[in-house]
Amino acid sequence: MAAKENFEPKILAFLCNWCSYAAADLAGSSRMQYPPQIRVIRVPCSGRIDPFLLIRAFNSGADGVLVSGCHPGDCHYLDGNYYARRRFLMLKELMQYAGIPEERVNFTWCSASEGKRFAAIVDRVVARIKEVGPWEGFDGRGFARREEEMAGGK
Amino acid sequence: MAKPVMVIGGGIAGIQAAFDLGEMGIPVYLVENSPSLGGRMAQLDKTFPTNDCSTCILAPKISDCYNHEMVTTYTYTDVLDIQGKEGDFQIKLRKNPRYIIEDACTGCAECIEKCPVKVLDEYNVGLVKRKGIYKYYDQGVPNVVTIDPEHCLKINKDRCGICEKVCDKRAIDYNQKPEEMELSVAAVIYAAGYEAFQGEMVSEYGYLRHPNVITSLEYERYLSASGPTEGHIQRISDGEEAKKIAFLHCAGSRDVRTDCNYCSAVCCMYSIKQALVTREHSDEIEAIDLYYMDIRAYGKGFERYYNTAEATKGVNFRRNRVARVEEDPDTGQIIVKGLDEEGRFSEEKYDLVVLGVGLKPNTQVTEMMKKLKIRVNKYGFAATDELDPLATSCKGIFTCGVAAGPKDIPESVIEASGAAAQAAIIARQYPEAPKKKEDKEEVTYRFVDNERVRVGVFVCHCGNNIGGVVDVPRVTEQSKDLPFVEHSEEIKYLCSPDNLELIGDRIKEHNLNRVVIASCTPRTHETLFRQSVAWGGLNPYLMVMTNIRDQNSWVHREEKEKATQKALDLIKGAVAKAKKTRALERSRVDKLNKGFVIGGGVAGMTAALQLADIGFPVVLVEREDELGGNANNLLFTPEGRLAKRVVDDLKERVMKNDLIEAYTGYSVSKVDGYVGNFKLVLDPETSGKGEQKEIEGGVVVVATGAGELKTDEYLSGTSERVISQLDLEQKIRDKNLPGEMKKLFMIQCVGSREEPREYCSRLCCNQAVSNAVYLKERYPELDITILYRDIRTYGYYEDNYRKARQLGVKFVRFDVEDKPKVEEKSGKITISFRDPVAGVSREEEADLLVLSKAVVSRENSDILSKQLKVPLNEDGFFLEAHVKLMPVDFATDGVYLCGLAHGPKNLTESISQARAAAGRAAVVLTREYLLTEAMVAQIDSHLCMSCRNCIEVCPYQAIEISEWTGKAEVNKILCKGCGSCTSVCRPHAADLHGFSNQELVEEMEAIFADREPAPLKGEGL
Repeated sequence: MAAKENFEPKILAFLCNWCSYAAADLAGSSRMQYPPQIRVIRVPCSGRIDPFLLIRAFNSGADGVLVSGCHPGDCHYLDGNYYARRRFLMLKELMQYAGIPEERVNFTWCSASEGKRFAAIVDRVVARIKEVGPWEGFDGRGFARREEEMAGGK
Repeated sequence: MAKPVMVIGGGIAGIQAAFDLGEMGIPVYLVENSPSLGGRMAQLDKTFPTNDCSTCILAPKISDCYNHEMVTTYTYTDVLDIQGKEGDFQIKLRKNPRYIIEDACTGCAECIEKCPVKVLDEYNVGLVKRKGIYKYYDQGVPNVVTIDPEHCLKINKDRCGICEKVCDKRAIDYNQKPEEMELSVAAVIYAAGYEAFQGEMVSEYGYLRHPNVITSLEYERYLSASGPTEGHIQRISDGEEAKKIAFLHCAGSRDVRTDCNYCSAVCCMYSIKQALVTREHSDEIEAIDLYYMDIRAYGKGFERYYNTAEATKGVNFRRNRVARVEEDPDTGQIIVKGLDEEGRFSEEKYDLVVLGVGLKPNTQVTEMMKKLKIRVNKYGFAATDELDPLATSCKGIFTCGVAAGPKDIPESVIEASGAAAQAAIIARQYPEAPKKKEDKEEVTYRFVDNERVRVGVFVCHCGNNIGGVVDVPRVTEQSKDLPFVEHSEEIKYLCSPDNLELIGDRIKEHNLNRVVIASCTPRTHETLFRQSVAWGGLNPYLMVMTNIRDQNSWVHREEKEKATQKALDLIKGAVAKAKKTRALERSRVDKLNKGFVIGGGVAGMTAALQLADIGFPVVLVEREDELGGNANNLLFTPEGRLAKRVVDDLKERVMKNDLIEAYTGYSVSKVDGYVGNFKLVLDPETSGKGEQKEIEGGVVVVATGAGELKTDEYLSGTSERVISQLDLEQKIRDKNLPGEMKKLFMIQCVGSREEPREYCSRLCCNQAVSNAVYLKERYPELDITILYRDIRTYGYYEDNYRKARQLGVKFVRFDVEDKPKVEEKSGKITISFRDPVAGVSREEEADLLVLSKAVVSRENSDILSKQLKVPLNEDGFFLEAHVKLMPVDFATDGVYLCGLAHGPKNLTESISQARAAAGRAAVVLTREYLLTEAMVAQIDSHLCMSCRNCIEVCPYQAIEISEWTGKAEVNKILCKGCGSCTSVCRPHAADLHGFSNQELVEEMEAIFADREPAPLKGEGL
């Protein structure tokens, strides 16, 4: 495993076209600077993101993922982001259950005028992932750890 | 083709009007005097009552309008003169020089960075500085820069010239001159908006004298993430955090001293919004105090919003008249002194004071209208008639938005669609040969499904914008080695016209069947590059764009190597996605050209007539035996005309119109189909009275109205001396008022603004005040008292309120916790109530008590709601697609909404909305055929388990279980391509064209191709 100091994470971001992708563009046109470890895939709506896509991202070697949609109530498609929110809460719990640090899965809102916020989000997410280190795979150790914890009466 | 229409003003109203006309196939000239489209709404942070981000909802509308093939936009252009008459106006325009060659400028903003000149930024209300060469705002459309000729060193002093040096697109032209042009149009829509009330005009509040007294528009910029304080609640004067903030309502409005005696209609709500948003922004806030006279939360969803604010910790509503505003010179704090309702003196210190300034007519517009002999009202707004609220006094010139009086965004949008519908009628009467002889030929694209994938990669330098950070030659070279890549090329400016053609040439030369563009953002350039791919004979959807500028080179300027790596990763992803990308088509669906209008009240009749006037046959369905609806019981229109005449005239026009088939005594019993192809079954209300009808049509307008609350509160129904406002009007009409009437009481908000109806019924304050004025003018001796909670005589209705007070009508406020009590003693009504001004309880006898009863939704709305698959809100009114920007559309295509069925409103507002609904419906009806979106969902029936999850989540009711296969099926005409269905489909039967599972998986796997795959590789797709 690479030393944490030299660790260059690679993070996948799914951004919805109408708010968060627009915020990322605004961060650009305002020339805000944020860390380059993020790779953006544009999707129409955060409601499009099937959790399996995130699992596949980890399978492909992503150290972390970020999903960002419109603020609640702002969804271009009425309520896609509400579904997304519920879905990722579930996914996060599942990931935790599997022993994957929750820092790896990030879900947030960002409106088209929040370029600054977007830059700050990337800053934060990159820092978090650097903290938890490189992706180690679904090795099942998380389950074991969890079992131990449960057996230990925690 | 119809003769063009000109829309003056590129704010939200103008944009909506231009877009609707364009959609109806009518050519439009949209003229805006500022450098960008967007108007006031672009300056707002959030919008009430949903706290929607203003930019998020506005930007897609702007780009739809700007890119519309029928809309020609002239920004930075003034209207000099209008001559002629309906059907034949000649309009003189002057395009002001930007000193920029618009076609050459890419909006890269390199010049802005280098420009040494700093001037006050109008977009940020002068709170910050911008450069001498600038974009009006970042997301502004068109995406080009403008040189400010007043401050440019080169233009004024022949010095500097830096922008010309840094622009390798050679887009700078210091010698540009104003261009005058003359256009001929059939009709004009004035949507020129307003000026915000200047803080200076209300000097008693100390604006300009005290730096910490600011206007609401300034505060809007404080709240905006892209504003001067980036959304932090701090004082610009000294950077101190603001912890105590006061909002002063009605700064300038409802004030005889300022000549703005009217209510500006939006300030109460935006102040509440700003208070709530402030609260959201910071936990440090100690207090937000709103100083007000009446809270006018009269629109749809406003009362709930107000209640939310009241319940929010730290937000305090103070019914208080502000007398003085002073500054504490030591701390810069502002001392607000006032008198509360009971006449007690109050004094409070704040860090920041926000003036809720009103809306004022735009003086230039007023002058222009006067010059054109268009009647303006005493306040300087366009004068309109209550029965034809969108027409000016000049035939063929219409108005919408705040140009015709203060109003909020949804009402402006409603009026815009309505004005577009009316202008469309005229434009269609003057057909013209299409100017451009570009009869769209059927384009056939090369069939590539059976070919091996051959990708062409084009990497844009964007001058220095990308090339200065990313090693473009290396990226281009390495792209050549990616799987399936046949050709890879770096280009200085990919979006210049010659290079757009070059892409087409390369496609043919290398026999490419996929194209990857690595450049700027697809949000602005996708359409353009799709076009160039199409020139190469390739289906435009076989192009994948990746953003290596806005989201790469611009944001990682100091990390060139990493930015280069990132660009390469993104291109790898795009190439991999392209591999799986399929040719897509927008398919044609036939449609019928008949419209249904359900409900034969004023709204329904107006909508039917409007549709018929545009030229479409209409089926009008009314449940009662007679047309007219609620207006049959009304005595007066809002401005005091006899309602009966108005209704009779409408009825006659409906009955005489050959295009309208009216079915009275009928109701809808079944609805089948979807936009363009509805089938309605109509049944007679009383069986045996007529036959069942089955009729087909393309659109449905819902205008089913609302009713008056039935209640036994305040002895209603028990005592004959307790009547409703409608009863009162009938008594006046039938001259049946009790003789010897000395004292009359009115109670407002009966059943409104309290559980279970947490909404304002909107029309009752105006109705009560009008009726009081009417009685008082005829019986000056009559003692009239109105018991109210807040008087909500918004807009010009404030005039009537003032008149009522002058005539001696008494207004006494009550709290909902302490409502008046009504008893009947020996034939007299006794009313006990508390008088808060005097601070005493009173008991008075009245000869008549008139109740302003709530407007309630129709009991059977839920049936129609289910039939049409359109939702109701919690109060039983129909719920539009978007309360702000789609106020007459439903999320379900082809179904529209107007009148009281949408929510409480008066006759004038119903007429505007009916015109708007008809206009939006006409958009569908005018088309020869309907086109589906290309990027829609598709469900593989072999994989579908008929679990119905997708049907549950589809926001557009676009999925149904097929009768034939028993599997879920997407109706392509209704699908908008959000992809919600794909995420809930366990067997992955649902997929989304353009963003399919395969495309997304390939894209991300390629991005991470340099990574070790995770140890436990799951089985999946």
